[in-house]
Amino acid sequence: MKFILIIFLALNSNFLFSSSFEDKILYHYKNIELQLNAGTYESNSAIYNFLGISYLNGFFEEKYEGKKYWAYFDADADKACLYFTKSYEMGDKLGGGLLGMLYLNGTGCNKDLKKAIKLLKPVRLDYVDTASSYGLAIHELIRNDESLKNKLDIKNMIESLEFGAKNNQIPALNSLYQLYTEGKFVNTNQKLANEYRKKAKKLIDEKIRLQNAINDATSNLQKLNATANNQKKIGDRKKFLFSLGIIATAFYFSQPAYQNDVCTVSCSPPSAVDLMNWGIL
Amino acid sequence: MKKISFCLFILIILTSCVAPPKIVGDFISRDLPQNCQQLFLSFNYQESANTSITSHAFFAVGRTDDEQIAVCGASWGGKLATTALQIKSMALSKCESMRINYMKSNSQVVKKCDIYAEGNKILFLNP
Repeated sequence: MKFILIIFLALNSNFLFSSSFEDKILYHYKNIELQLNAGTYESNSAIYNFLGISYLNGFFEEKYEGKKYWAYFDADADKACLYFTKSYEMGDKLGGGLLGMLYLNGTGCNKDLKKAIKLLKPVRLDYVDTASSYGLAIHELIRNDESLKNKLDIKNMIESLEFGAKNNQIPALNSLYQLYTEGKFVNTNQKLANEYRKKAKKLIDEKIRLQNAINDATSNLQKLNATANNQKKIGDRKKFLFSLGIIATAFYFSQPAYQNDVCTVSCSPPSAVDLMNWGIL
Repeated sequence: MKKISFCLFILIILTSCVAPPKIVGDFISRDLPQNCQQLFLSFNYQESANTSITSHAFFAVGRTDDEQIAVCGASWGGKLATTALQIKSMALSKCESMRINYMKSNSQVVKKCDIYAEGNKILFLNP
């Protein structure tokens, strides 16, 4: 009995104890977070940035053997703000930039444009996102309060937005379209404004097309898996019938009659002669 | 002695049957990206592809807008325990799964996966 149990466990250990790679990623990072909060994990700004980005997106991203995996959970922007703040307090410029973006959008941290500008300025041309966000923060601030126009650097705003626009940042393109159309803070240039608008529209269309393709692939995947599962049942039935056939054949040929080549009468199973004698044939 | 010779003979036969015909090998080396070539030439796929009497083997690919193959998926199984539709669906399913991953990672559209080969028979390659 024990032997059977051991064999059963050995055969099914993979099924019983394994979990998906995504579950392992989730467990791994949630465990790191717990240790960080308990002070038992050596903290560094990179891990705070990673946790902050993950909480903002609602998934942990891990690359393994050239393939990306996403372990999903509920997004929590408040936690993102907390972790970016910790990273910034450790002197991390990227952490500061990411925190600035949250202050700009009021996501997780209370909206504060002046704070956003202060945090984004040191990294405004280091990353595409921060460049775009820095320009957007100044634009939003001066649109709300034109008296600040002279205190803020319009040239830096345009430079940052252009850097973002060059790198396909849609908000930066929209902002530049507005700036060159209105002509409040820069000279009006409708031709340039339309170019920015055209590029933004193209990028938006591409994004929509990509999202539709992802939805289409997800739907295809579900249908194909359903078909494969249905067909697997047919395959399993075939396998079962074939196994029965093998067992029956093995049983048939293991009978004494087939171990003795010359059995013609009173055979088990009955021979043709037996059947004729019994009047069946 | 006879049994050992027989086993050796079977082993040689089996190991010699795990490569595609030269024309197919040349074609896929030009047409498929490296990771898909590896999958196509993998032992399991080629073993099934070369025993088409007893096995099903399907290879699916997804292409970008410029018709370059970006993603792929393969599946195989014995004819006694599986159906052709099951293996075909599984190959397409693996390809679609890779397609989602590729599009999310690269922000580039990949068209719907299609069956590229049944065993070593590439569907649009003339013999």
